[in-house]
Amino acid sequence: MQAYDIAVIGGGPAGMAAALAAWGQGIKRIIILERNNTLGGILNQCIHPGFGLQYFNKDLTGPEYAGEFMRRLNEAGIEYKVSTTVLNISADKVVTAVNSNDGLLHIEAKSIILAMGCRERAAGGIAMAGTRPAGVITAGTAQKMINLQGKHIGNRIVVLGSGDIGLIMARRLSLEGKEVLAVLEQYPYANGLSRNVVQCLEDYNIPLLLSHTVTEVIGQGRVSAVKIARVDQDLKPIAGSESIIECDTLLLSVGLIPENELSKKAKVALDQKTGGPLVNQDMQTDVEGIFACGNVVQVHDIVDFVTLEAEKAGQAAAAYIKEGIKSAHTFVVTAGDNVRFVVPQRLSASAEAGFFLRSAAALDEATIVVSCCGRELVSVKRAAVKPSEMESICLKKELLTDLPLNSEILVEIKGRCC
Amino acid sequence: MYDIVIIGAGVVGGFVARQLSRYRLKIALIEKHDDVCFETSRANSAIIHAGYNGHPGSIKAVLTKAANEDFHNVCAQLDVEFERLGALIIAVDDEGKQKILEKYAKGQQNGIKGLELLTGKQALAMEPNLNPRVIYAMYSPTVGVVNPWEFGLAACENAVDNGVELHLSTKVLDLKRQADGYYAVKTNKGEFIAKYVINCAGIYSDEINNLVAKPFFRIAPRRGEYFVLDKEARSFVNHVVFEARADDDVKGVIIIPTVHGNVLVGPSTQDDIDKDDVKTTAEHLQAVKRVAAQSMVNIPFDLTIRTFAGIRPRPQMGKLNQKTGEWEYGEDKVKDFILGEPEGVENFINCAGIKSPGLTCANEIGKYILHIIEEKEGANLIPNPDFSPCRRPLTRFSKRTDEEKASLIKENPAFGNVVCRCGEITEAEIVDVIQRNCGARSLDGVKRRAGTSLGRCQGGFCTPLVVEILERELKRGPEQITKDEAGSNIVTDTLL
Repeated sequence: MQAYDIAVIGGGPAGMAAALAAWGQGIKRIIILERNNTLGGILNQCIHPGFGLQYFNKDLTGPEYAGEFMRRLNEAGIEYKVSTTVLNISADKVVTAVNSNDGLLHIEAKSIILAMGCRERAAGGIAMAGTRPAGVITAGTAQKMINLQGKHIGNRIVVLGSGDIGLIMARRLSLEGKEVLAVLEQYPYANGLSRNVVQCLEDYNIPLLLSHTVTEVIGQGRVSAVKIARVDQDLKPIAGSESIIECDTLLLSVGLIPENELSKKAKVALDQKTGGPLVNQDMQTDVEGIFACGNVVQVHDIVDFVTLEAEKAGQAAAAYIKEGIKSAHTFVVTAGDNVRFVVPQRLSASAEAGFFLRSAAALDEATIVVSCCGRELVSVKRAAVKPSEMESICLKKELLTDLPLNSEILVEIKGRCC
Repeated sequence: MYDIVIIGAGVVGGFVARQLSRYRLKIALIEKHDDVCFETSRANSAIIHAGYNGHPGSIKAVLTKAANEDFHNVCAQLDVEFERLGALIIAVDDEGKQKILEKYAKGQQNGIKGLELLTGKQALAMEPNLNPRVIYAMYSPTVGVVNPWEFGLAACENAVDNGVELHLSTKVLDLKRQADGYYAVKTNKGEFIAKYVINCAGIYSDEINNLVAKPFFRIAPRRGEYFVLDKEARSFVNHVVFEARADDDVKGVIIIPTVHGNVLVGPSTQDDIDKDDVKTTAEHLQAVKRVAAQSMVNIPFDLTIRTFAGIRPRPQMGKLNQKTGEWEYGEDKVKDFILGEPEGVENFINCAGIKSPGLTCANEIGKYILHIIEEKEGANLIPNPDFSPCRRPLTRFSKRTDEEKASLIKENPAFGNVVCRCGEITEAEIVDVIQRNCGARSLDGVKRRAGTSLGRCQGGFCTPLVVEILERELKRGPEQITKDEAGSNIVTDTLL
């Protein structure tokens, strides 16, 4: 058994930033466990620019963004193990992990920071009809194969889903000389960032078919075509609107799911809506001393926000170790009208709270309102909100101290349907 | 020159080969696909039946009972995952109750042990998520679930271990009996001459039969579509749950906890399709959901990780219409397996029409065929001194204790490299299933043998890694690695 102050599970952007933040608070016995053969997580395969505009005030590629954190980690001398898979986390904070060099490791930590990221939803997860040939691949897997392994996954590609990775990959495949025939989105709006719709599709003349979906995969051996259809308001295919697109690849960008199998083993309570742990504004879960940050908590739009969230988690973990500060789950935060989810879902009264939230629908002239017992605490106005862009609102500490214990804090969006 | 050619390396062909390998015989097991167990054997309900359904006195009834009683022994020999979960057969109306009473009576006639009739209340106590309108049920404790791929694959591997020659990618083009009484099996890979031919061609067994015998049966393919639910759904159901009409008719859906810890819901029923048409359809998947709701409430379909379809080789027996000279086909009441030499055709042995419970009966069918050969060959047969009924066990890393895991990694560091995170499957296990006899040659070959990409990420993380391991172990370029069969390449070209 090896003893550490903090064990960080996952060495992607969240894990690296959390470790550095804790280190900055004077915690030195930290270990990062990473299953890939290098730190950096998904950033390593994101060779496009657009990272760091908020955090570094610079336009970086994914590897550059990750590289800066790796440099800082190495400079600090924070310990990490790569090619190391965590098999279990017990509720009393013993981590079991394996790798080829050390064999099986037991690591006892005073605090654990969960930073495992997310995975992609696959074809089976959307019960895709048709045959099951080669050539149906999720966008992130394709990105890894092309950018890290130098392997092409097809020549004539249809993309289902307008999530950011799908948009980025549509551009990437075009740059590689592949034909991207269309990007289909079942909703009447794009699911990725507006800047990606412009820079990845419009600039490359790739058609974006809104309110469309793939109804059948066709092909033996390899994909030979997909059947597509327009969908109605309930996302049901409209009879008679079907057409066939001949292609050899169906690239899927149909959602990301926080990876919380280890969190469950550690008996951390999860939010059904986000798929991530229930956390308070210190990013502490309902298990004392276990914190979580990044895409394991909620799927973020940009990595800069992941970094900021992870820094909160790292600082809170350090405070927990140094001062034994128990960050309570005093208030329950509820996602109200037009809010798909809100993070944090719990609050302690001890610090100000910054909420991240996603709207459930596209709305114009929107107002984000935080209230308690029918009384508005704070609100902000937005010209428009949409589910693809995360919103935020801050609640000052003073407003929290006045509230009765265990009261419910409601976060809702008022606005006009567009 | 062969003693025996077995056409078709599905679960039935595999077990026939395994049983025949007890003797010193030159046996070729030929399979048109690039891997064994590629059709019905790879997409089915994975249920091991108790034997209450077979027509009393039929071969099927006798073999099912024997197979069920011996199933754990066969699985122990072949190191195949098997769990005797028991089944609840439930009725929500009088028609269903009547069905259950018929099954119970047949079960008694067939000598099936442990069957219990239950009230709706008793059934609900055993399985809380049943439709609360359940009025009657039968509990069948000996019903089990098996890893369906592993069972057939292990039989094929064991047969090859015992000296059977496996010929993959070998398609039968013609079959003729020569003047000397031997059969000439013409394939795309040359001619096989053999004294005996055993037809284990599954959904194509009628076509093989018709090359040398009268078309006295035909296979009417019936497609079934299924949902696979994530392991999180497993706590939802404890037994195999049949709606009373499910296991011998077209109307029912089964809810099946699998040995992998998932839940399977299906099949739908669709006739009049092509034999190779294993697509899923929105319409029939919807029907599965609708019908399943009659058995259980609040099935967590939102935890779906996969849908698939399989083809059942439903036999229809033929009668020659003397007036027209045409064969006319229909389902008979007995619905038996078609085992043995067809009328007037010596040394050609059918194992045909092996629909449910064919998976259950595969080893018993193998023994049945062995007896036919023993009767015909008698003292000519010499026991195979190298025969073993056991295959080398797999090392399932995830099932080991921490101490065992530590020592496995010490022996072989590749056990420390977890490739499939959903199933906790290591590089060492993947390399093993590639290197074994009858080993994996494709991504899905690895999946069926080692269990990769069966989990909730469906290969999202491990596919690039497994492709690399296949390249290294098979010494092939990335473009030569397939998902399953020829033409299913994953990588189309490289940037390098």
